[in-house]
Amino acid sequence: MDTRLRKQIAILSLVFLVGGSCLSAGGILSRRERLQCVAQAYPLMLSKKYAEASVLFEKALSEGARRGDQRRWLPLAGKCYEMEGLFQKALAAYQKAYQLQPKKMERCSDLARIYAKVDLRDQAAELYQKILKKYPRDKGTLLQLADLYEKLHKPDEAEGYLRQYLVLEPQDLVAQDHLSRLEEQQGYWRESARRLETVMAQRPSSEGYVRLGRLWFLLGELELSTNAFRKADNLGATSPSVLFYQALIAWRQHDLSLASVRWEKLRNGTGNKDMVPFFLGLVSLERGEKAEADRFFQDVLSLTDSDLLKSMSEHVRQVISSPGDVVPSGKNGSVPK
Amino acid sequence: MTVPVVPQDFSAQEKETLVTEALWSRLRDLPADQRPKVALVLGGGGARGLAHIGVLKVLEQERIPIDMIVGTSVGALIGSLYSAGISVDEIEKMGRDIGWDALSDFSAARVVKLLVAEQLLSSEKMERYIVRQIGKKQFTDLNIPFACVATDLKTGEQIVLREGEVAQAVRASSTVPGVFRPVPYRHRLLVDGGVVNNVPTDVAKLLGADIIVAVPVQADFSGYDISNVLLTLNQAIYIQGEVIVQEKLKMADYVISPRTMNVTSMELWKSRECVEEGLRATRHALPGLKKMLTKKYFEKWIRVSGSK
Repeated sequence: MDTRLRKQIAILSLVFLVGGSCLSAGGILSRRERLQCVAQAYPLMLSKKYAEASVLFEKALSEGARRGDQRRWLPLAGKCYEMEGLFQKALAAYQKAYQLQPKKMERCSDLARIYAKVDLRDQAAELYQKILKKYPRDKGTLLQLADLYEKLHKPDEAEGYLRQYLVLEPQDLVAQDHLSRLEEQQGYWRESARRLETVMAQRPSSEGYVRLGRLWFLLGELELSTNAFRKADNLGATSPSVLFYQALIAWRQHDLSLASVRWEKLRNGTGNKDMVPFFLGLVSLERGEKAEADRFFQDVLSLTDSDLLKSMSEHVRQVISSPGDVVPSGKNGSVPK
Repeated sequence: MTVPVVPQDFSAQEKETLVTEALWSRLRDLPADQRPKVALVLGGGGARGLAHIGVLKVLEQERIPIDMIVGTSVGALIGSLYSAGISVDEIEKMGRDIGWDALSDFSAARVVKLLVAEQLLSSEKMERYIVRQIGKKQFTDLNIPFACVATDLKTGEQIVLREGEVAQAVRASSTVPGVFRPVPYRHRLLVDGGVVNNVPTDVAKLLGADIIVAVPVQADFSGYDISNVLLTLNQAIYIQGEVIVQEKLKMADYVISPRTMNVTSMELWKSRECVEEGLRATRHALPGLKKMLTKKYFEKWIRVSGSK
């Protein structure tokens, strides 16, 4: 607790002891009565009894409170409301405090924080940017702005603030991971994968390796993808999604047998019920097994909610069912290696 | 789009990404006769068109095949350079270094003559500039089939240029009426194709494209100054052009829209900003573009294979 606050509490406690309780009945409170309320409220606030403290602050701030007192007490009342989860009340208190001291960065920060909590994100961002103008290296503000812009669906701006933060704190792995996700969202898969690799080197996790494996797969880096999934396995990741990706890698490497075996393992599982038959259907097509392929694509149509899978499956079934058509097999019309 | 903690099931978006990427990596290298023809249509817009460089960069990085390019005005200029085999990095360098003095006999004195004595500028320098880059190549010499659009100032007809000397055709497509002298071509007087067709998707269709990817580089005319006769007329002409563009865009299978609203057609010095915006817009468009391409490639692959 800081020295200034201690002194204030001591003085107010003395006032309270001398003046008695501030809970007078009705009417506009005198300054002495307000000071007594605040003297009681402070220790309650420090003991985290925010509900009781906020009642007292409210009384102290009732009609007739001096501007100077409002400047001091409104942020405290706001803090109590905020800690109680009464965000609208906190917002009202912080807004008033900000109006009284618009140039004070702590008031900006309080109001920005509560704006973010009540999802007034544009307003929160505006205030954080005001703080950043004065304190361009404020790490907390940079992180808040990154978070806000991500929630505002502006990942490129979020990325910008996160990058600024990482210039100041390059070792922050949580932030590096966050930036990797933003890069992935915007389609910068290679950059995302490289960054994630750096994070995994220092803080390996099965979730991270699964994500890395997926990114490398999407980039066509099958060996790197295989390695990442192996590491995820070693760390105990046993999700069907990992096996699915491993099947996909085998398929991409034209090892149809291994791909089928892996996908067949997943057929009785609970996940990805449309994806498994879709790819098994493709494998059947490549093997020239028309009837088998048709059955798989029929399964897909009965299970999927994806427009893409639906239209592709319908198309294949149409072609298969047209008399005289031959579906892609090993030699003619096979997918190139 | 991120992977949740070791998921049981893929989200709808993840399914589509996986299927798209898995199939795309296999289908994109199909021989030309087994896959749909992809046309890239590059719209006009002066300096804003430098965004096309960013677009080409990403498409090249992603190995998205381009089977033909159709362009108007700056779209024709950049499209012709790329079709002739100039690398994207080279074109980007040209974009950074170029000024209006390289493309015309633009100078303060000439602008005064234009305004006072109504003497139009010449765009011959543009033709010479293009010849310096690609030589006196004919359309048939180009690596990628290319066509550009101009307007016959006497009849108002759209003229599709796809034979003869490329440099002259591109110059005609880029000749802004009222600023530059029209280009005599056979019995016609040609000016900027943007007068009748700033995003020639219909031309791409006529030339046999199965898939049309269009890149308009629009201005934001809502903030334009309309306080005098000239500016009001300019705004009205722009609006007319935009109405046509919106109709043409309906024929595209996919539209990549760089946000070049804060760049005017004259601001060639904003090259870097435009290229960056082209990069950003194309990256943003990639998932949807690949999904569309994969679907169409897949359908053709199944059909073609089925007829053998």
